[in-house]
This record gives sequence, structure tokens and C-alpha cells, in this order.
Amino acid sequence: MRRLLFWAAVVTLVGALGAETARGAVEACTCASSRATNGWCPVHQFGYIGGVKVASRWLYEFADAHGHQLDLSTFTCPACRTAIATNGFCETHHLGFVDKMAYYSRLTYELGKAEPRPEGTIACAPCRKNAESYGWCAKSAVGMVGPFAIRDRQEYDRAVAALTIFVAANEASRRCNYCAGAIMTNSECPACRITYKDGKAVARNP
Amino acid sequence: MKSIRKFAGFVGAIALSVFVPGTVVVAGSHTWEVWEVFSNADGTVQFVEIKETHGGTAEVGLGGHTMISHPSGNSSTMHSVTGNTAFTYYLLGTAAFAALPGAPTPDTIIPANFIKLSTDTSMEYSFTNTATWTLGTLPTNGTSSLSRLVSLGPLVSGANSPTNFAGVTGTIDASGGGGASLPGVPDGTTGTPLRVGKDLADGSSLNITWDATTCADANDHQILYGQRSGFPAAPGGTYTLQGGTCNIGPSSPYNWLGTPNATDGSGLTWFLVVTKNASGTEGPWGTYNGTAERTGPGTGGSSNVCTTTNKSVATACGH
Repeated sequence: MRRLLFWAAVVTLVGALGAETARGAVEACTCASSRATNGWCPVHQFGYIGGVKVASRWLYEFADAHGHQLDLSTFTCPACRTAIATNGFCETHHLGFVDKMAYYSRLTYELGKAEPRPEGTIACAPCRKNAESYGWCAKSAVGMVGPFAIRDRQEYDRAVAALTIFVAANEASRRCNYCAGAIMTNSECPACRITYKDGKAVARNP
Repeated sequence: MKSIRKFAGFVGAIALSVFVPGTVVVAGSHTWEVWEVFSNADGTVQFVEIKETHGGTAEVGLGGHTMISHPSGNSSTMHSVTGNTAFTYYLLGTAAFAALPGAPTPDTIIPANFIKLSTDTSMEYSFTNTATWTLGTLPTNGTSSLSRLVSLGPLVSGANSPTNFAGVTGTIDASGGGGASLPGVPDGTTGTPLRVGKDLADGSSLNITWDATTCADANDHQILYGQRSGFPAAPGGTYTLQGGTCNIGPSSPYNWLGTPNATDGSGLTWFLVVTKNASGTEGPWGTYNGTAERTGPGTGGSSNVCTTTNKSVATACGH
């Protein structure tokens, strides 16, 4: 009898797990971790980059806040080669490298270098406050960009400058994703024909 | 109790197999570059190719991007792809391009004149990569394209080599323009030979029939004619024409009224019927020795009459 009950339980469990896997394995809510990981919640359709809540999936994908594992031998630009060797950033191609992974913007590169600090792991009160948005704590000599800690002041300043532009892009994405992309890249929106520089509209073409 | 322990261990194994993640591959789309740009003279046959240049295996998110030709601003959406993207290509092409022999199937169809030849000097894979050229340097001879040779290198002219995401590659000849096939008018080696009969006894009106079906020839046609003195001085030389009878239409037969007379005293008039498309390119004249094409005085060996601008021998049928 016990043997029968055992196998009945196993069949039931496997069936339940199988159904759950088929139905929802890729649709699990990730809200609890997405802010700390620059993640996207497929259930609730928003994500975070640098602690900024992003509702536009397009912008989230475009910002591409993760490292790319690439064939590094294909990078021949001297500045890129140096960046690969030094965890640096190639200003010519707007491309950074952290631990041999490529990041396609200044913001994501700086976040890639930063130390993730999940909620509840920050002892310093001002730093906890800074982690709600961003800020520099002189006492701890640590800057927070959302839940990411940056200990070098210059790197922190560059990250905040990039984050400011991303915030402008995030705002623009409510009306036009392509404008958001143009803001991120100092270029023209192909739909609205607005040219952006440093986060601001500088020209509207006919 | 033994069974319960066994059960617990089994549950643990299942849970691990379901919930422990494997290697995480995160999608992207930033490692593609505009790689090759092509147009024929009238802009009907065009393609743009991008390439994943850095070995990214999951750069699948092309659907978030547009292809934009500048400064016209003509743009086209794209679609995301599936599978390993490392060093692959994605092809956008016009319908006339897709119809050409040797053309890989485009991943996205773009309209004719997507690249506005009179103004456009750059192609942007939106917000990510742009390739530029000087106005007037994009080849329009129907066979050459501008292409990068290395990542982020300049565009250079060379033979076209469109490749789609499936990895199908090819080479096209759009020198005929318009993408329409310009076959020869069959001489009997292929299909039924052209025949001519007299409508009037003095030969001033001739009835010409030709085979328009063997080579699926729906083009307009024109008659090119000359006299004995217009023959080349030696085989392979250039034919000199007296003139042409233009726009005789796509279908056979044709009643040629007011046929020309030779003025060189020879009493000999020769003529050809050739295809011609809307962009002014005419089809083959046939060969003079079984292999080499007869040539006229115009561009590409064309007739230079009836506002003909070029000649294409790309379609093998009928000659």
C-alpha cells in the first residue's frame, strides 16, 4: 500500500512539475530580483536598469544591460584592444569591456563594473538612501547608482551622467521608442525626425 | 521510513533538474554592422546586408531595429531571428532583386528606390551602426556593390555577394535594370527562329514573327537595322546601325511598314529584333560565332538608338 501511495505521489508530483514547466517556466515573476540584476519581469512587463524602472520593453532591450560574450579576436581597433586588456572603454566605438565581456554603452559598462548590492545588504544609511536613486556618500566613499555600488568617484560621475541620459530616454519612450533610442545615441529619431544631443532635442527636421 | 527518505531524495532530484539554470544566454542586437549596399541604375534592384561581426551567438533582436537610408529617411522594419547568430548575415532586398536569378531570398522586402540614388549617402542599422559613402560612388552598373571588408572598415567597391540569414549566398546581374529578364529573341538554336515574309512585293512592308514564349519574353521589342557597310570590318567588331524601329511591342507578329533602304549601293539591309525594358536596357543581339555577343556602338555594346541606354546579356535564354 505504501509502495502504491509512493508511486502515486511521484506521478502526481512529476505531472505537476511538468505542467508548471510547460506553462510558465519562462513567465515566472522576477520582480523580486530584477532591480538588483538589471532584469525584466515578463509577468508584469517592466524591468530595471541602474535602479530606474523601465516600462518599454523596446528600450530595455535596446539598452542591453548585460555583457556580451564575443569572439574578442574580431576587435582590431587599438583602443578596443586596450579596453579588452584593461577592463576599459573605447570612446571611438562606445564599447566597454568587463572581464572579457562587451558592453554597448557607457551606462551598462559602468554598471557591469559596479558591485551589485541587493536590498538589505547595505549597512550605511546614506548609501541605502542613495540606492533608491543615485548619490555619493562621502563618508563611505561609495557612490550608488540604484543598487550598484561604485567606489571610484570619476567612474561614478560618468555613470550618473549616462544614467541621466537614460532617464531622459526612458521618459521619451512613453511617446516614442525611437526617440528614446535617438536620445541614447545622440542621433535622429527616424519617426519624429527629432535630433537629440546629450539627452536634449536640438533640431526637428521637416 | 526508508520509502519516505527515498521519496524525498527523488523530489530533490526533480526540483534540481527543473530549477537549476544552465548557461544563461542573453539576447542582444548590438553586434551587427551594415555590410553591403547595392543598387542598379534605376533603383528597382537594391539590397542591403548586415552582418554579425563579433561572433555573438545570441544577437537575435533585430526586430527592435530599423534600417534607414539617409538623408532621404526611407526606413524599413526588420524581424528578429532565431538560432546561432555568430558571423551570420541578414538581407533586405527589393522584390525585383528577389526575382533575379542567383538572388538569395531576402529576409525582409524593401520598396524600390529605398536607397534614393540622387541624395542618399549612408545606411543606418538604427542607432547602432552606419555605413557611409560619397554621393555618386555607389555603383549602379548592376553587378558591383559597396561592401566592408573588415569590421568597421570603409565601404569599398567589388562584386556583389548578397547573403541571407539562412546562409544562402549568391551573385546577381542586374545590369538589365528593372529586374525583368531580358532574353534574346530565339534564333532557332533555342526555340523557334525568327521568320520574315513580304507583305508587299517590293519588300516595303514585312511581316515578322518571333518566338516570345520559349523564353517567357513579355518585354517590349525594337528592330535594329543596318546595311552592308555597317557590318564590322572583322569578326568581333562593332556593328554600325542605320537606325531602329522602336517600341514594336511584346507580341508577335509585327507588320514592319516602311522598311529602310540601303544607301551604300549594296541593296542589302540586315536587321535584328531585340528585347528592351522600361529603363532603356536592351537584350542580347545573339552571337556572331556561337559564343561571343555581337556588339553595337552604344554603352555595353547596345544599339544607341530608340533611347536605348544599355544592354544586358545576363539572361541566357534565346541567345
